[in-house]
Amino acid sequence: MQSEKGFSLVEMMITLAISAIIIGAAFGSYTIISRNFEWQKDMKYISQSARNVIEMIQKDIRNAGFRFEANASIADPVKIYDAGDCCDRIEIIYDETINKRVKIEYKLQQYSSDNTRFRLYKKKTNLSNNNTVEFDTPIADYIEALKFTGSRGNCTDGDVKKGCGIEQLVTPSSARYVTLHGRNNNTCSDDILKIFDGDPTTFWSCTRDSGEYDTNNTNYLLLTFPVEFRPTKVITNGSLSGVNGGSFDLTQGENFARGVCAYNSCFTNTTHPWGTSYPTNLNTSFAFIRAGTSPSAVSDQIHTEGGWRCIANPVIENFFSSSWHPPGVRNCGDNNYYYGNLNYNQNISSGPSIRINPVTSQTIKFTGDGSAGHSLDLSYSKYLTIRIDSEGDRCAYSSADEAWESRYHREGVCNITWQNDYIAMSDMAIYGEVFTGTISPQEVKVELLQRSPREHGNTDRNFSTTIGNFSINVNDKFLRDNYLTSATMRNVYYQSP
Amino acid sequence: MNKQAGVSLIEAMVAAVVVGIGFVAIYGITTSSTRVLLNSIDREKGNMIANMIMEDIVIDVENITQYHNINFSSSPLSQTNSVEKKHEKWKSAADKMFDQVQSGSTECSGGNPKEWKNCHYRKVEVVETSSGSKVYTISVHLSNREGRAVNTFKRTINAE
Repeated sequence: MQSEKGFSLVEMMITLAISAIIIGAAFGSYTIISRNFEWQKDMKYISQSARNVIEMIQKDIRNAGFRFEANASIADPVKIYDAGDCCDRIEIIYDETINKRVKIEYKLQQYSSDNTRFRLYKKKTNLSNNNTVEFDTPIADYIEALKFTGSRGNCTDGDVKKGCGIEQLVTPSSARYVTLHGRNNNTCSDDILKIFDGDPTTFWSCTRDSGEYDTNNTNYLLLTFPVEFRPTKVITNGSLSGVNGGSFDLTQGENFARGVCAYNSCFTNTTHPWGTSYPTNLNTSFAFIRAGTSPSAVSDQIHTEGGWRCIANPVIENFFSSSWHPPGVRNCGDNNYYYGNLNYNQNISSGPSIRINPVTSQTIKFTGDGSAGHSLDLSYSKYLTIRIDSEGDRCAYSSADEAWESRYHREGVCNITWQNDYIAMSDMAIYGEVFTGTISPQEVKVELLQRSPREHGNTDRNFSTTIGNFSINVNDKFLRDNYLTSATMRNVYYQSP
Repeated sequence: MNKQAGVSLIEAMVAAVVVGIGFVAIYGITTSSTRVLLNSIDREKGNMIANMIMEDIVIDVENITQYHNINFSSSPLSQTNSVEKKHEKWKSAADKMFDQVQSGSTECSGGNPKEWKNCHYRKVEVVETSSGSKVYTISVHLSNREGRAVNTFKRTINAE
């Protein structure tokens, strides 16, 4: 007979109690760990989603305004639409390839009927192919606010400061020719605007032969632009337009040589008859100015249409920044009265004028030193004057050519002859900083409020914050987090228009 | 006759304690993973702010030395120039993304940074790597949770 002793009731009770404690602890731990896992999962979701979205938008903002040199400039690389609610929209334009300009758009859209759930959509439009939409797809969910704020350094809307406008090509809408500081209204029938038509084969000229060129006075071209601008640079397009026959050997350079010819300066890199018939770019020189040469006589002011203002630059902050001045009264950047031209000198130390190359283009930046007479780049206006300092010259190769002087000239080369009988200008493009009142952003701040897909915990939690100009205050069980950064539109910041 | 002894109360208690230690360990791991997650989120956010700060400095190299030692846990005294405006922008961004620095909080310093608490450290340092080189190292220190999480982000730029 076997003796089998079972558990006593007390033992059973104790065992059950301990088991219950262990199972309870296990269950409790499981619940805690499980909740914590879900919480972590959603926190990570928020963080990853926000990071991905922000990085994607940042990348596009950094690309904004990028264009291949051959393509047209992009007027508004970034446009921000703010309806005053949670959900801004941004449009970003850049060249993806040389043949493809794209517009990227980010916007929040309510998901289905749930008015607390928004999805972020990214839309890509090919602007080079009839605005074909390549995709318009959700890239993130549960984003409750997305705000963009554009800024440009220290600029605010309405600022007229260096760096606060948009540098762009400015083309005059009208132009006229005067001499003797505007006192003589001579006529030159050729269209001055041909200088700015972008076509290097067209040019403006005024010749003695036509009876229009006033050889005895300083000649001015008065340009009127549709917008006010601060001059930043000019690109002169060296051109052989107007030159009949012959050739120009560019490999030997474009500066006329002194000392190699018998007496006068000459070009040794041309062949007859290059330059014998009013060439456009042979030694013509000019300067950009704002005013006449004397402030005392109103009649001496060239641009009677209007004057110019100094821009509010750090150097001359609040210095004549708010009132118009008659031309020639004062110089931007100079606290002392300065009566004279506000002009730009190509080489401040050695010469006042810009000389056009016969063939190649040259870019001249208006970076004056702010001292008297050299601060054109610190002023802005709708009017700009070209003072022609040196008429065009011509070539004489032999006694068969006009103005040949055997004593001074060397046979077979282009001897420069100063006949003072014409002025001519081929193509040039003027660039300036245009102030539109509303600043064009250079940096964009991106703010985003991301919430968790699921609710967490048993009690509501209060969340209040301000994202851009949108405030949110909620009491619920969702998790939320703010993300914020800014990106520089590098292609706009460093671009050369 | 088989004599089969049961589990004694002591044995059962010991077993329960062992299992309990296991649970505590698991709970500890959970807490630790939460801390790691929060640190990782702090780092991620800090990276965004640091990128913003560095980009702001890179486009203003003319004033680069003025950014040295900017403490953006508090606002600048005025906002009249671009450096001060950026200072305020960084302060506001850090306050939004992280805890706001409590008034009276001191700047974290000395000792083991891992033991910092009840302090703040939000600072930009711009140091020229060698005199005249125009190569600068920008360091951004960002504290959160009252100094318990401090991250430093560094980048070297050529300001030539």
